[in-house]
Amino acid sequence: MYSILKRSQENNSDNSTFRPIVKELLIICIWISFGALTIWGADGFGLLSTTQQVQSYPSLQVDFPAVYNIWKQKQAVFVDARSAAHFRRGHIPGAINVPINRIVLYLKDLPTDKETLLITYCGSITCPNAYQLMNVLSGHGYQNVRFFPRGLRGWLALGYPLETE
Amino acid sequence: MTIPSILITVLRILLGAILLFAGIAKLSNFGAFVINVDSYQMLSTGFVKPISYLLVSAEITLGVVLIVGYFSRGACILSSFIFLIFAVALANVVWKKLPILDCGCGNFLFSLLDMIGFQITTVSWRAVFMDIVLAAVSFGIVISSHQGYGLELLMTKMRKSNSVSHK
Repeated sequence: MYSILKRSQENNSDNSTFRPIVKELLIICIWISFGALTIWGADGFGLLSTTQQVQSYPSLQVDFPAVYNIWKQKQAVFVDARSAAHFRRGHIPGAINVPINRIVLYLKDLPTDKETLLITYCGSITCPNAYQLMNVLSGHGYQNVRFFPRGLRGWLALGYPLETE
Repeated sequence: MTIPSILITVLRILLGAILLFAGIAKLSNFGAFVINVDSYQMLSTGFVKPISYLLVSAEITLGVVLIVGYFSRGACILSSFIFLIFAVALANVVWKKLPILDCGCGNFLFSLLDMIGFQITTVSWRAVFMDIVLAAVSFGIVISSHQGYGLELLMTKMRKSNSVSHK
């Protein structure tokens, strides 16, 4: 601490010791805030998407209108990859919640039959978690796992029903 | 050129690189990072995204500032604060035994240590310790009496030489 005081006194003709450090902190905080706003804007415009990765695997996707028919005829179990809080606010009716980072806790909720068709989804087309969850579930031995790339936002955009808890 | 100044510079650039690469890694898979922040269960849902924006922005900004060597003392104070936040978050996960497998650190130093068998990216006390070490190094640069080399020093020298020539 003594060295900071000494250096600050050397560098500044005025007597306020911590002024340069406070000034530096303030300027950096302003830069950080601008950066955060930029990232927020980029996220809003969908520039932070990982859809390129998703679009590389069209054979693993289930999209409209097939996804609605599968849901209506109960041919698959829908797996929501979002957090539990988001899931509670609203999800595809009948879906099971398996947050990608808490798979260990939620695996017991999944069907024991490894041949069941599972369709993973998350918030929107920009969200990579449905694709990642599909890979993880395949790794756990599920043989028929697909993902719904448009996610809940796409589901709601077409006016399909929502279930809340 | 003195050895302590060179050491300070190397440590500062290393810290900057760690933060910058971690920030870029998180930004490149932002959706997964938001879920990661949420899974730490320390924030209410409404705060998860704004805090994620701030964390990524802070890592990238501090990374660039530390590498360039401008406002480095302020940046070191903030980076030690950020590493402490990470340490507290990780300690919370380990303490509560939350089922998070990957810390989501996106840190190349951690990945490197992982490759040689230290298993840092797995949430554990080791990862907590590592973050505390990084915070200590960062704070060490702040309290050091030696100034590292960088843009700040260059500009100070230029200002001095200008004032001498004006006299």
